[in-house]
Amino acid sequence: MTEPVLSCRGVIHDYDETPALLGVDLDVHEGEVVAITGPSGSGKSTLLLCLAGVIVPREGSVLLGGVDLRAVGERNRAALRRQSVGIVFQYGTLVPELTGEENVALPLLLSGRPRAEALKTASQWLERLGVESVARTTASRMSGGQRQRVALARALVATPRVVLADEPTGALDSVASDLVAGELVSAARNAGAAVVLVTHDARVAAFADREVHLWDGRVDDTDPSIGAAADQQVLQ
Amino acid sequence: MTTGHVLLGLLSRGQQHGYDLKRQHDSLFPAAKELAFGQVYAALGRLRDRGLVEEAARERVDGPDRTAYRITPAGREELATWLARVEPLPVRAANPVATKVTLLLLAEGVQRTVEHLVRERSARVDRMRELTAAKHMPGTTLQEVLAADHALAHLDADLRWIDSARRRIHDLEGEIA
Amino acid sequence: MSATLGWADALWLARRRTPNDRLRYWGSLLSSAITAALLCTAAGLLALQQGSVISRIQVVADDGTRGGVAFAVLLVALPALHLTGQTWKLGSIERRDRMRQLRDAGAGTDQLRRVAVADTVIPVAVGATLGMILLGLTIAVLNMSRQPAPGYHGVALPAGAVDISAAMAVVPNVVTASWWPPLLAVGSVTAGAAAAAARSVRHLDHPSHRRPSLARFVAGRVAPRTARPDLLLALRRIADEPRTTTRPALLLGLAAVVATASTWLNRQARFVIGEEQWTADDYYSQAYNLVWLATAVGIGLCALGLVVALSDAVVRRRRTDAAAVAAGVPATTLRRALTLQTLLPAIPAILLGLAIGGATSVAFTGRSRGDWLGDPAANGPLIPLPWGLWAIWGVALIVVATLAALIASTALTRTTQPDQLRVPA
Repeated sequence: MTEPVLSCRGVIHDYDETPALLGVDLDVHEGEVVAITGPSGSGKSTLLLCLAGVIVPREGSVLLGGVDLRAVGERNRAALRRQSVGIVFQYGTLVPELTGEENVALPLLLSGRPRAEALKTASQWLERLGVESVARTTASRMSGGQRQRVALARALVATPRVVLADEPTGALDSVASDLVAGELVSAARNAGAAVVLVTHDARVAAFADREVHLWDGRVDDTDPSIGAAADQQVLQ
Repeated sequence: MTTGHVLLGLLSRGQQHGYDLKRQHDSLFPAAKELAFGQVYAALGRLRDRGLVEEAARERVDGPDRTAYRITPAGREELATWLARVEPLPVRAANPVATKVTLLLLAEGVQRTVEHLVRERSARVDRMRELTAAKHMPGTTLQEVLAADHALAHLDADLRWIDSARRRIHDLEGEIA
Repeated sequence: MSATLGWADALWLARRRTPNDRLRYWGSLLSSAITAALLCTAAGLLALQQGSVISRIQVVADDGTRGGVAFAVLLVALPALHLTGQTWKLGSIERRDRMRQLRDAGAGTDQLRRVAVADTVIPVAVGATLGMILLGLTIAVLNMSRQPAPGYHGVALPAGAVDISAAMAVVPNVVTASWWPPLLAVGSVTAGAAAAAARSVRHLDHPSHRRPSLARFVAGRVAPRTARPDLLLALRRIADEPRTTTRPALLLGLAAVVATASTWLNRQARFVIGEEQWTADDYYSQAYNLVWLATAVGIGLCALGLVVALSDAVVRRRRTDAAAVAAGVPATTLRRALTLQTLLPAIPAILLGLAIGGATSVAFTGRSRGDWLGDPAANGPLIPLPWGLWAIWGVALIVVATLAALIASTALTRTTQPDQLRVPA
């Protein structure tokens, strides 16, 4: 079995002095699509930010491509994020003042690629996701669905190893939700990237290969044969 | 809703043989149980007795009866009336999981109950995954997608109930402890 | 909601104790105090009767130049007004949301206007009045400790008196002779604030019009050609909200005009009048020191206004910036973008101001001829232009703008924390 692209062990973290994560283990393998579900307050978004290296958890380790994110400084974590991770948030992923093209090209420009090349790659991705019509539109003027697809293009443009999405369909109605979720998964699969998708919507989670359900800061053990272990999990 | 009403609807576009009616029903309504030929002919018989359909042509080729049936004006009226009515809402919705949960709480306690809920949840999540994958296969018809969406919505509703039941049981446990 | 909303109720509806509101109240209070004090001083100077003034500041005492002093004070009031406007705009998004909630609860436009005016007018009126009191106290206290200027209007300097002619010690010792300047100052500042508040209620739904602007046009043209992310961000943000940094840029340009003109006038006048008489009668040096004091105060107010405007912009953009940092954009890129957003309009404005101030002042007085270090001579070489001093002013102004941007960018550390990602809407 190849080494996982992204993994965490024993992650414990608080948010606002209340415990959010109480010991989470997770492995994401290449090309896999994993959904992290759970009710609000179960720590899903905090876990995602820990996996991205945006937050360093109080305890536990996070390995991105084998690199321990705790051992590496903030600047290097940011560089790793730029190279290997694409992130899509529920709101505000795009810079509202930049156009669709410029938003998608931003990671490439930050790595020093020449403008013409960056924009060309950007427009290819916009076309792949069906939003080439908003290439020259300012992000603040796009619809919610357009914005999320452009955000997805930006997440994929630097050919990341894993795409992290935090409630990408949270602000959308059910029809648009279905579309964006489907496109997220198929675009990432085609690009060879794994996906970690945080969502409270079970129908969006159904697009993933497997689900990790968080309850009160821990992962539900859904293997019915492990009765005793499940007892422990559920009791604490 | 009766089989008769469904057949009236299928006949509204033109006359058909009983055999074709069964085939059309099964392809348009993949989520429903397949119709038996006996059912079709029995329903057609009842409709004919009430004057809602009539026999259009009777061919007797060597082999089975190839009667074509046609909808009558009275049949059209009955169809229109039925289509315009809102489906009656069920008074009681059966929830076998709720029944089990109650019994589990009585018989085996909170831990086992929550464990069971987790398993019920997992089974539904797996089924939702299958339905979603099937929905997106190339060549899926609109009817199949609609049926899958309906099943997904109901499973989603079940999941919400399971989550809230679990929360309530946790809180209850907290009160007892 | 009742048909007529009482003022007391309006006040209660307007009050909220969020940190933004407190900042806004205190900022409005202080900046309207400054604005009112300046307006009162200008009005008070204009109100003085001819020939009746004894002042240590000779340009004030001299009937001919008093109008010019009033004009100069009004010029300094411009950045003060800008600062007042900026502090009033703090937290404007939350305020607009609150207004919308009230409107959804059934409030009519008139009632909303009452709420907006009640919210604004209190800190402004209190601040303006405070400014008047402080101005009066300052003048009174200083009047008690200063002697009149030596040899002016026949009053001889008492033995042992110290002649202080450094710019900072030169203060007016004219108490406002008439009663109306303070009332005018408080009234106009309060009325202006109330009018602005009432007008703001009209634009609850649609964001402010995208009025055409040179900065927006230029930035929009250059942005598609940039490859550097920080420059791209800066240009697009200038195009999105040009007035945030173009208004302070214009004020800095105005300061450049005043600075270069007065520098040249100083040199030319000093040369023509001659070194001996210049140092003997401190009328001249006093006048120019006052000008530079006023210019420095104006620049300081400008810088404050810039810091407030930029900090507000940074806080407004917090979720986008936090998401950008989470996605891997370095914080230094964002900081540089903010500095560029400030300097790209400021530098041309300052350079233009230097050019205009220098050119018009030299054209106005003409250049004398003669030996620069000696006496005028009709057929000597032209005296040199003060390039060095002009350059120093230019650099100083650019440094001030850069410092303001750097101070505002310290807010970025807080606004790009991961917890900003959770802030809804």
